[in-house]
Amino acid sequence: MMNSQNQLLGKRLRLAGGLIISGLVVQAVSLFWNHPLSFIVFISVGTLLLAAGIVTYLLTIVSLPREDQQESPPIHNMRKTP
Amino acid sequence: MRELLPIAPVLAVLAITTVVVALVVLRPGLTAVRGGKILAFFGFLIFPVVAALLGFESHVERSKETSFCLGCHIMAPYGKSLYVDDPSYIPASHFQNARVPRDQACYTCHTDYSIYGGFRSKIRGLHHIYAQYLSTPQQPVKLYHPYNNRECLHCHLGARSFEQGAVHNADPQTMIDIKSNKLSCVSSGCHENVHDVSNAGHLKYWRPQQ
Repeated sequence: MMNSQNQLLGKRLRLAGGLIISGLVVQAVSLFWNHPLSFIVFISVGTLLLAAGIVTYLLTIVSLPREDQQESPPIHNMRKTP
Repeated sequence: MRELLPIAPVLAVLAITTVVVALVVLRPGLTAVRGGKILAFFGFLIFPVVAALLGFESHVERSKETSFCLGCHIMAPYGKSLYVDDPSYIPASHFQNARVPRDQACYTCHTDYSIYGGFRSKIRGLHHIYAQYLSTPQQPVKLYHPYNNRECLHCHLGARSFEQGAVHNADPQTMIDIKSNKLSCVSSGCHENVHDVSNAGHLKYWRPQQ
C-alpha cells in the first residue's frame, strides 16, 4: 500500500519536475534571444509549462493521504467501550 | 559578458530552481521528512514563481531597448532616421546628442507619460507583435493618436531653452497652447521634421565614430 503510494508520489513529482524544468529551460533560452517574439515564447510556452508543473505538484501534495491517517488506526477503534 | 549582467540574477534563480527540482525528482524519498517537504515546496512552487516574475521583469525591461523596437523589419527606416545628419530632425538630434538614452530612444519618446502609460505601451507592443506576425501591418506606420506634447514636456518643461525660447514666448497665448496640447510641438512651422522616412533616400546620414 505504502510502496504503491510512494511510487505514485515519485511518478507525479517526476512529471511536475519535468514540466517545471522544461519551463525554466524555455524561459532561460528566451532571455538570450533578443527578439520581440522571445517575450511571446516566454509567456506562452515557458510560463505555461511552469504553471502546469506547479499545478501538478500542488495536486500531488493535496491528494496524498495525511500521515496521521496512514499510521493511526481509525479513531472509533481507539474509544474505550463502556 | 556585459550583456549577461542584467539577466544574471534571473539565470541564478533559474539554475537554483533547476538544481532543487532535479534533486527532489531524483530522490523523491527526501520528501518523507519535514526538511525535504519544505525543500520540495520551495523548489516546486516558490522558486519557479520568483524565477518567472524576474524573467517577466527582465523581458519588460528589454522591450524598452531600441534594438528590440528595431527587431521588426518594418521599423528599420525609423531606426535609420535616427542618424539623419540634420539638427532640424527632432528624433535624430535627440538621439545623436544623447538627449534621450540611446539604448532606449524609441521608448523614451513614444511611451505615454501618464499614470498607466507604461502598461498601455506594453499592450500596444503586444498589438504590434500581432500585426507583424499574424496580420498585415499598415504601411506607412502611423501613431494611434496625434503626438501628445506631454511626452515632450516630460523633459522640456521647466528647461530654460523651452521656457524662455523666443518663439515659444512670441505671444502669451503660444506658451499656454503648447502646455495644454492645443498647439502641437511637431506642428507645421515648429519642430515638424520628425522621422520623415519617405525622404530617407535623399538625406545625409551621420556615421558615429566607433
